[in-house]
Amino acid sequence: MARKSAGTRSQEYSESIINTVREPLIVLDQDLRVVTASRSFYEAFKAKPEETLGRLVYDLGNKQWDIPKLRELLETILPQKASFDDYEVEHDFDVIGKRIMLLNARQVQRVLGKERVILLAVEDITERREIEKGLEKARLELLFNKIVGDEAREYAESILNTVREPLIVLDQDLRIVTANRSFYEAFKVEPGETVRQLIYDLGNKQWDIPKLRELLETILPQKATFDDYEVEHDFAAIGRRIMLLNARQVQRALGNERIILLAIDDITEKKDLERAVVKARDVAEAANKELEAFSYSVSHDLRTPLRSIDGFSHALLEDYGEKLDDTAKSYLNRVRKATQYMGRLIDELLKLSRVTRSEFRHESVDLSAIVRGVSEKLREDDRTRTVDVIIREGVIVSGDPALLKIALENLVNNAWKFTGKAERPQLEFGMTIKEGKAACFIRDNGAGFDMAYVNKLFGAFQRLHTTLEFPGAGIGLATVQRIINRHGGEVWAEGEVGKGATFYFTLPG
Amino acid sequence: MEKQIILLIEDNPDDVALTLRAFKKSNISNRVIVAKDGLDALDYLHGTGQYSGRETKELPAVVMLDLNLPKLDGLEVLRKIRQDELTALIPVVILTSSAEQKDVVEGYRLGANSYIRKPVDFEQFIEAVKLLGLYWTLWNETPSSSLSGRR
Repeated sequence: MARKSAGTRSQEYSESIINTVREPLIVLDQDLRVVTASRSFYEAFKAKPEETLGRLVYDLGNKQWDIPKLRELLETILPQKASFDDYEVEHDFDVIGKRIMLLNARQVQRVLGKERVILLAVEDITERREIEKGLEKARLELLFNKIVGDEAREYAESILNTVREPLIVLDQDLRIVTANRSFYEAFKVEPGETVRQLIYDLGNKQWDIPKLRELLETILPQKATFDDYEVEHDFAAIGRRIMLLNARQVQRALGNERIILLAIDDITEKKDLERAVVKARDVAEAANKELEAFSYSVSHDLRTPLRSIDGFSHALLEDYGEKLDDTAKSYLNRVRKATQYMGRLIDELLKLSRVTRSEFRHESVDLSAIVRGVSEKLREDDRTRTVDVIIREGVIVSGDPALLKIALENLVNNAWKFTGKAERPQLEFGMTIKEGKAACFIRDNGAGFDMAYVNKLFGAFQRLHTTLEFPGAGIGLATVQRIINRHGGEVWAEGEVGKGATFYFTLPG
Repeated sequence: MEKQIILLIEDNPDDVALTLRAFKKSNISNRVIVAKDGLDALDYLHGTGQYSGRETKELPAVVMLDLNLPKLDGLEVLRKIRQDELTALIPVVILTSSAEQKDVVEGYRLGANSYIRKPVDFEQFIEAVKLLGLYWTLWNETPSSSLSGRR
C-alpha cells in the first residue's frame, strides 16, 4: 500500500511536471501508444484526452501524426540511441496548418517498473522560425541596401558634384545629407560645418530665411516639388544674393525615408544685369521723350515768332511800301530772307533729330535704284543742267530704307549742287574696296574741298562754302553721318579744291 | 444766301492778324469768328458761355484749328467736335506750326479733314489760306449746308 502510494505519488508528481512545462509533451509506451499527454499538447494540437490516450501516436488526430520522419525517429533512431535532440520536423496538420516542430525524445525506465516509456517533447517553433526568417530577410535586405545604397550614393554624389548649380540634399528633418562642390564654393562654407547641420543653422544661421522656411515646411510637404522660387537674402559672407530655388522631395531608392533635393541658382548677376538693362532703357526712353518734347517745341514754338516777323515785314512792305525808301525796303527784305532761312534751318534740324529717333528697320535696300531716282528727280527739277550720271547697278545692302534714302538724297544733292560750276559735271555712284572693306562711294568733279577742313565737313551747321557760292543749311552731311552711324558703318570724304569730292561709306551686315 | 462763317481757333494774336490778313488778301469775305482757345470754340459751337442764345443750327463752313492751345488742346477740341452729333460733320482743317508725324496721324485719326503746316514765308501762307478758303467755303459741299438749306 505504502509502495503503491509511493508509486502513485511519484506518478502524480511527474504528471504535474508534465503539465507545468509549457512545451507540449507526450509519454508513449513501448508500443508507441500514448500513456499521457500534457495540457499544452492538447492545447497546441487541438486534441482531446479521450481521442488521444491509449492511441497509437501515428493515429492521433485522424492519422495526422503519421509523419515519416517521426516514424524514423521513434522506430529506428530511438531504439539505438535512447534519445534524440532537436529534430526539426515540418508537417502540415489538418486542424492547425503548417507547423515546424522541434522534437526531443528520451527513452526512460519507468520508476520502479520494468517497462520503458518514451518522453516526446514537441516544440512548435513555427512562429520562432518565421521571426527568424523575417530577421534574416531584413538582415539580407539591409546588406543589399547597403551595397546598392553605397553604389547609388556614389553615383548620385558624382552627379551632384558634376552639376554647376549649387545643390544640397536634405533629410526629412531638413538636415544636410550632402552638398555639392558648387554649393561649398558659392556660399563659402566647408563640408565639416555643413553636413548633418539643420539647413537653417548653416553658416551661423545665415540660411534662416523666412521664405525658405515657408517653402520647405509648407509648400514642399504639400506639393513634393517647387520650381523657380526667387529669394533675395543678405548673407554675411557673400553679401546680398538673389537666388532661384528649385526643390524635389524624393523617396530614397529601396528605403522608406524621403530626402529633399534643393538646387540654388544664384541669379544675382543676371538680375543686376537685367536691372541695369531696364534702367538703361528707362534712361534712354526718358532721353528720347525729352528729345521729342524738345523737337516738338522747336518745330512749333520757334517757328511761330518767325511767321510773325516775316508776316508783318511783308505787311509793312505791302501796306506802307509807298512811305519807305529803297534802303528801308531792302532792310525789310533782308529781315524776311533771314527769317525764312532760319525757318529752313529749323526744318533741317528737325529732320536731323528725326533721323536719330526714328524706328530702325532692317530690310534689303537697292542703293543703285535710290541714286537713280534721286538724280532723275534733280534732272527734272532743273532742266537747264546736264550732269553725267554713272551708276553701278545692283548695289543692294541691308539697312533702313527710309534712312538710307535720306542719306543718299543728301549725298547726291550735294554732288549735284557742287558740280554747278563744273565744265562737264559728272556724278558717279559705285563700290570699291577701302582698307579691306567694301565701301560705297559717290564721287563728283565739282568744287571739292580742302582736306585741311575735312574734320569740319560732318559737323552740324558747318559749311566750307559761303551760302552765296552754294546755298544750304550745313546739316546734310551731319545727317548722312548719323544715318551711317546708326547702321554701324562709317562715312568719310576725300577731296581737292576745284577737282571734286568723293564720299565713302560702309554698311556692315 | 448769306455766306457761312469760318471759325478760327487760334490763341496767338499775331497768327490771328496774319490769318485774317491772308483771308482779306485772298478775297475771302466770309465772316470769321475767332476763338482764342478750345473752350471758347466749344462755347461758340454749343451756344454756351459768351455765345449763349446763339442759333447753334448755323454751322461754320469750316473750322480752322490750331493744335497748340491753352486749356483744351487742339486735338482734344477736335475729339469733342467729332463726338457731338451737332458738330460731328463740320469740316475741320488743322492749321498749325507742328508737322510732327504723331500730330498729323492723331489729327487724321480723330477725323480732321485736312492738315496744313503754317509756312514761315508769309507769301506761301497767303497761298495756302487762299486755297483753303476757296476750297472749303466755295467748292466743298457739306451735309450741314444742304441740311440748313432744306430747313
